[in-house]
Amino acid sequence: MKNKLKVFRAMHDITQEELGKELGVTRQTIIAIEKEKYDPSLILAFKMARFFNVQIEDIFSYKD
Amino acid sequence: MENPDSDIKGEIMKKSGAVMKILSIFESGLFIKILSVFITGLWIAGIILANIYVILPALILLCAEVIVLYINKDNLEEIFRGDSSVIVEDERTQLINEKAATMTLGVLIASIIYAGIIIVALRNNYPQFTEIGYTLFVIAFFCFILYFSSRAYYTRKY
Repeated sequence: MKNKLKVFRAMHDITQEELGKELGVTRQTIIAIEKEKYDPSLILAFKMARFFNVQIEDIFSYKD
Repeated sequence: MENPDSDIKGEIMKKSGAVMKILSIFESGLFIKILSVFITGLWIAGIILANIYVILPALILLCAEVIVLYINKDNLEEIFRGDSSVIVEDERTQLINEKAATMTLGVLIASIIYAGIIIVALRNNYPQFTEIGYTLFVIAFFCFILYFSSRAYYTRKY
């Protein structure tokens, strides 16, 4: 799964630590998601979309 | 002259205050933490002293603690987390723990079974160790039982 988390984070000028705190996850999890090593749960994806005030599809995209 | 009614009221207030304090200790999880430390201490003392009168209360208290833990099962994570402002565990760490636990279990069971086979196979050369081999088989069997019963439980849950 591809994502634009880093882009959205840069747009909102927020650090990985701050984003992690806001979403209730560790900084390592944010790093892993940005590096596309870890796919977040649906709940976390919704939380991210809500935090950046966008749709989930704007951040995440799935390609076969 | 003092009013006897106010004395009784004061007494009731004092008692209810004490009850509330005890309840708050239960709710905060402090009781569970103290009990856990005390039981651990008893186990350690029991091992050092090799005394049944230390191990026995530890065992009884452990059973009591299991009941208390079961009652508080929904907020156990909060109780043992410590400082709630610091996030130490999330869904990724849970996934890592699950994967590590599954691999550990697999390696452990395989090692136990192979060690058991080797020991039992060498029963003619080392008959004094044969019982250890059978004990290892029993341990592996109980591990399987525990694994499949917890699997069945979580299959029904999710």
